[in-house]
Amino acid sequence: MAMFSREPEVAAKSPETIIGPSVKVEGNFIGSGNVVVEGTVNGSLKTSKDLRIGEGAKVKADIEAANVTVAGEVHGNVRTAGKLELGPSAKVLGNVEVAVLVVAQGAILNGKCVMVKPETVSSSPPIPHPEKKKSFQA
Amino acid sequence: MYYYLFDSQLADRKYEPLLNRIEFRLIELGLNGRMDRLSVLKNMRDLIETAIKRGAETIVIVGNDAAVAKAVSIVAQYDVTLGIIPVGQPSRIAQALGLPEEEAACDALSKRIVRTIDLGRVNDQYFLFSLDVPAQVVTVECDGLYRVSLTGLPRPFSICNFGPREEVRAACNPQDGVLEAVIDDRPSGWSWFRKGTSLETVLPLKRAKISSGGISIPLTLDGQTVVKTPVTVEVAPKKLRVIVGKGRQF
Repeated sequence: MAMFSREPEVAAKSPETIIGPSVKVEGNFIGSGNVVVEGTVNGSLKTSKDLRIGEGAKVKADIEAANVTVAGEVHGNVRTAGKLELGPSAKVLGNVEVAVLVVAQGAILNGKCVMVKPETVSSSPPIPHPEKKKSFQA
Repeated sequence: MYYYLFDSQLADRKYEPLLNRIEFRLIELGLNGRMDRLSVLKNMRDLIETAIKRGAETIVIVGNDAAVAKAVSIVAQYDVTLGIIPVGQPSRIAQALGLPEEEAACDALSKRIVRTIDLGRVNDQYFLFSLDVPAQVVTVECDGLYRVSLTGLPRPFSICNFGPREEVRAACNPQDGVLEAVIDDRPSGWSWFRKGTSLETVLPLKRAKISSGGISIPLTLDGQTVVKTPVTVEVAPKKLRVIVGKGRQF
């Protein structure tokens, strides 16, 4: 079945945290294992392992994870020491700071993109969010 | 020293031959100890506490899930080991711990594979499996960091320590030091025709506050004890020493 799936396969293996389609999480979510988001997250989302954002997911949060796979909608900055993979249905409105970037045809990425070496991602300060910057200027 | 506590339901005559076989097998294995039977006049807490004062180190409950769930909350407060000889239904707890039924469980007692497991705690009550929340509008505040709510219609969910259900068993390990909020996200009725995922939400947490606005909602611990919202549920790590079998589910 996986060959017909539109979503990339990263982080699909044994997730410890699953946020299902009917669940809304508000606040600072800090996970220690693989995380799969199919629902709504507002706030911030951090995990030391892999993160997968499913096709129907809506995330309004700054994200930090080892590897990130996006098939849904993200409003916020994404920082990863590993790979950021944007599927054909992905929509990312925010800055990204990654070591490896994979963008599928059809994916939307609006924001500043900084490619860094894996070890420099966690130590460098975050890039300001473009929307936040706009409101500051106004 | 072993202390055996027989559930009051086993006073029925039909259990007599089985109880004789159990007693005989215990003597054969050299697992002798004091035996008591629960009755309307004998309180489980009093009997267990008296036995512990007299030097009992292993409290063995002979009975079904209801008796074991009640004993878990008492035994967890003392430095003793819990043993189970499952007699009667349901016996989900014994199954999850890999213990065979009836007199075969005496051999598991004799092999004495002891594991220390986490429990869930609500006020001064402990639970082994889960705290079950009915389909009502509730707010769950997890670890003081984030709030979980359900979009759409309210649905039942559980705060699990140990997952007897196969789908969430891998996540709900009673030795991982965390509880898991498990919300069934499978579409209901005709909605299974719709395209979409059918994931079950699993959120690890150490402490959660469950509130339901101004109204009080009854929540059940291991399907036995009822507590009312608002409640704070938290993990009690390595709280219970229990004798398990080879086929345990963790």
